[in-house]
Amino acid sequence: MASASAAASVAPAGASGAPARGTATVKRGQAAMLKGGVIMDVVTAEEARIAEECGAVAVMALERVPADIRADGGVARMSDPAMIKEIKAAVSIPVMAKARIGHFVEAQILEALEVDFVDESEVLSIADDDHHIDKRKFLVPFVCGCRNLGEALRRVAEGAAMIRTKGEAGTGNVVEAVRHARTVNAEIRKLQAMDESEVFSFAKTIGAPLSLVEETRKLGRLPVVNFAAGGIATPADAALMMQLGMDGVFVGSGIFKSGDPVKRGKAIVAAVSNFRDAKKLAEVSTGLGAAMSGLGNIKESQVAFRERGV
Amino acid sequence: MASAAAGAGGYVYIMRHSERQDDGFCGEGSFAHLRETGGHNTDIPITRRGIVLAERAAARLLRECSERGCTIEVVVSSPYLRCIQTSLVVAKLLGKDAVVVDARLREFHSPGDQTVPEKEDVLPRSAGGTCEWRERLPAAVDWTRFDRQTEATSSRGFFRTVRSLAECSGHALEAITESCGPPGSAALLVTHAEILYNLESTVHGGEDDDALDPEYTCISCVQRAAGGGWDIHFSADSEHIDERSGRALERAPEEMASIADLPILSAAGFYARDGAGPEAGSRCVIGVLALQGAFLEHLTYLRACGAQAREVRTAKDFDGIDGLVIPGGESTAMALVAARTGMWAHIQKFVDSDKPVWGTCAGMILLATEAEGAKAGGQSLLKGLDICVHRNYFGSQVHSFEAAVKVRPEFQERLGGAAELPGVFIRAPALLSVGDGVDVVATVVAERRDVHGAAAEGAEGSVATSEVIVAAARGATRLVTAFHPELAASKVWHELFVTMVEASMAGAAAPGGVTTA
Repeated sequence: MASASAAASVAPAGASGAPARGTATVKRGQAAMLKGGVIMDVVTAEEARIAEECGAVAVMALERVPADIRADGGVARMSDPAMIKEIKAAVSIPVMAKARIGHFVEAQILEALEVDFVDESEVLSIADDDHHIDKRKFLVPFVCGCRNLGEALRRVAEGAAMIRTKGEAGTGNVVEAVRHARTVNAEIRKLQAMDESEVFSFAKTIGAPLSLVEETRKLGRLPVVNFAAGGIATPADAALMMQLGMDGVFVGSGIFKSGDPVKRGKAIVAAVSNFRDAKKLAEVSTGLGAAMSGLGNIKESQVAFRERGV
Repeated sequence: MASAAAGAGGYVYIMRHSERQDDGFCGEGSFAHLRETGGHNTDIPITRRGIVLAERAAARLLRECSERGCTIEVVVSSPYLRCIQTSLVVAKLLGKDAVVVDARLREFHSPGDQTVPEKEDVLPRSAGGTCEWRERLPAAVDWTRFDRQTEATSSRGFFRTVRSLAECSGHALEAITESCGPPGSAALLVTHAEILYNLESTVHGGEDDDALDPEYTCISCVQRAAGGGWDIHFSADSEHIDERSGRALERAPEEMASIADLPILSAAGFYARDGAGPEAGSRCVIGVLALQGAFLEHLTYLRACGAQAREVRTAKDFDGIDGLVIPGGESTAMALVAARTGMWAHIQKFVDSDKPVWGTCAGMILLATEAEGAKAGGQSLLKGLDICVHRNYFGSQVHSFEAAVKVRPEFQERLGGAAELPGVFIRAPALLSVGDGVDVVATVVAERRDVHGAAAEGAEGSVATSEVIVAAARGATRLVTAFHPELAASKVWHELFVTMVEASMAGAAAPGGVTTA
């Protein structure tokens, strides 16, 4: 009896025989399968195959990596469907693609192309200053960036199945990603330590729905999978983010802007699998060639992806 | 309100159950993630700290009873696991060896939101003591008995209590009334917050809802008054609890160790049905390959089934494990990481040893002898079970789905008696064929979509055809599921695997034994 009622409560559509698509379980479940893995930015089918061989759990198909978007300026938009299709055909792992914040038609197009995840990304130009995409309306799951707990839970409320730190993409500088990861962690700890009656005011202050704030307080973590992104360039960076409690890592420009992408890609994958084993980390960090040169002083940069879409 | 004189009837102590394992503050957290996966419907056991709380509540009850000159003669519990566990701890310290389970004491807070335990769920819960099922079905609530007029003309405090109790759990009152014995006797009822809450709000001054929320193991005491009404003697918060930090509850490590050995801490004996589930407190050790993917979820479920479960990241983690789970994730990434770290050879060695191995989704692909639709250049396979699988048979993520899997009749008994179980299919593989000695356990009806074909043709979407597809299969010591039982709110698949591991251990221990799990 217990099992039968459990079945009914989890997959009500299943009881009648018709499969239920696009449920929260299915969307968040796909994110859960990526845990402990590395998601790599690729711009060609060839790079996608290299990423797959390196052991990436998914690839992010885009026309220009964030470092180039940062340098080129201009409006950055969704990639050409032809390129996305080509990459999808080239690999067996999930393929993600970026849509502009608030540009729900780009997201509809990406869903029609059957990408496996949409990144509503601040790295592209913003399409809507006030509204993010209503991600609950889509079958395809979304990942969104955040700098703090409020941003993270607003995105989850809009239907994001996965969260990542914003970091500062295309800089090869991990400082912002660390800041965002630590901020979310600290806010969750604060939330857990406070009195129950203070939660209402806290939810109001951070601008997040009370129900999700309460859920986070109970769980002691975000209600969805949380990855690190924005500035990760070395195996040590990746392991640092994992030790800060992230579930996995996005590497954007860091791999294919480096001297030896294959070696670096494999090393970062190994670092994420063995993030607590310093000996292993020393081994995989050895002789990787030049890392991307990157950006030392982020504050002086004219481009601040992280401040887009709060 | 309190009456020091002996009333017309016995005392009834009403106590809230102890700390739940899904409570955010409990620190054990092994059930915390169930909320994420929708498993908050599950009947949650109490924590280790909850056992300490229950012991202290028992000590307090003994003190109260000696002050009132009464003896607790019967311990009655709600059918929920947390109440039964709490009452078993208390009953033991009160010198009782049996607990009566009364369905009327269950909570009704949100009826659609709970898996209400039935008789067959409750009886196997007697691992740490004896449970007796009180065969009285709750009668329908007669709302007219609790209207305003009745309240106005009767003993005010009592009827406010009655009305409140009736509103959220009308049947509990029947149980309380029935538990009231002759003067000098006492009964203990272990139940839920909502029932205590209503007693509390009465005691603390009526209608306002600011009354304290009942804490774990707080106790109220009522007594039949001489005039036929009720007296409420006290309603105590459990002052011994510092719920937030648990600071007041610290105990010496050796004392905690002895508590951990109590049989009731193992959820296995409580969840198991006769002959279907693993033994209570199963001592088998199951490793979960933790290179990448959803391994934490498996660890949590296996532990909830009473098995010891641990992560397998390096070669030395294989020492002493009796079974292995290869979780869902990305099979390509998992195989490459394993190959590069030298783990592949160790996994292969374990698979070749014929010990039980369970592969879910990506794990199923890795266990197969043959895989279609894999990455260019092919995918490394462990070839641990004679099956042919197809990677991403159902297409890309937008076609991932939840659907009931149909269990073949011969396996239903071992899977909790269910004909259908929840199936979560995420970019799932399909079993195209199974070899000799491999049994089909469950199937699903779904549409096949070829993601590569669709992309190559550039057509809009892909052609879909509904068909019956094998979703789970097993060999003597192998289990494969194309879906994710670790993401659904049912542990029956994990119980089945624990049973397979135990059978394999028993088979290995017996001279010339054959493993026929």
